[in-house]
Amino acid sequence: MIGYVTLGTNDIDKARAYYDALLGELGAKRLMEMDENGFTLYGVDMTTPSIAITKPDNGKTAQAGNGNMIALQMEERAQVDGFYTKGLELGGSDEGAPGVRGDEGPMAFYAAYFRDPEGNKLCAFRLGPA
Amino acid sequence: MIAYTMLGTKDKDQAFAFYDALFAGTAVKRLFKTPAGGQFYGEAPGEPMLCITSPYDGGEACFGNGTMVALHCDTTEEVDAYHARALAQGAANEGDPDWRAPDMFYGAYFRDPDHNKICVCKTNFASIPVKN
Repeated sequence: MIGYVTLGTNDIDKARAYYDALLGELGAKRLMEMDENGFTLYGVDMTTPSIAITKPDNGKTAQAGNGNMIALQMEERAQVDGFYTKGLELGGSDEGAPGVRGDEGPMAFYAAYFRDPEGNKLCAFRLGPA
Repeated sequence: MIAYTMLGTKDKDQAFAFYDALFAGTAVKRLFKTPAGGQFYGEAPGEPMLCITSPYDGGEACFGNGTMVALHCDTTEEVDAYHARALAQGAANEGDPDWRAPDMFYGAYFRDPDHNKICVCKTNFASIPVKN
C-alpha cells in the first residue's frame, strides 16, 4: 500500500548525514538521489516501503506536520533502544523513552519516539514479548 | 522498514469519510482504531498501514511541508482511478496523472481535507539495480 513517505528538510546535506547514520542502523541506504529538491530515497531494497527526504516541491520552508509520524518496526526491544539512542545522539529530540505502551505480554507494544533535527516525528517499535 | 505512517486531522469524521471513499473498491480497508480514536487503514495487519489521527499532543493538527505519503498502485489505471476518487471528494489537485519519468514513474498528486499531501503512483523502481 505505502510506496514511500517523504519528510521535508531545509538543509539537505544535514538531513542526508542524519538519515545516512540513522537508517544505516536498519541496513537501509540511499537508493535514489535526485538533483531536483535533493530528493533522497532510503530503503533496504526497491520493493519495500521507503523513506525519502526532500526540500519541499513548492520552494517554501519545510515544516514538520503535527499528527504526522513514521513508525518503523524492529525485531527486538534492544533494537528499539539502539535506534532511539542513535536518533538522539545524531541531534534529534526526545518524544518518549523506550518502554511498553499498554500491557506487557505476547502482543506488547514496546516503543520509543523522537523527532529528527527538523521536527519530523519518528517511532521505533517492537510488537511482541520481551 | 515502514510499519505504518500517521497523518494528522482536525476532524476525524470528515477525514475518515474521505479515506473510506478514497479506498473504496481497492484492497485497502479499515483495520482497527487506536485507543485515541485514530483509524488504521491497510490491506492487512502486518502490511504497511496508514493511520489518520488527532495529534498525540492534543494540539491542532497541521500538515507538513515536504511531507507526503506515496501510495503504491499496480497499474496506471489504478492511479487514474485513485486521483479521480480523491478529486470527487473535493481534494485539492496537486498534479494530474502522468508519466513524470518515462517508463519509471507514473504519478498523481492531491491533498486530503487536512491538506496532507498524497501521491498515488505506479513505479518501475524494482527494475533499478541497487548498489551495495
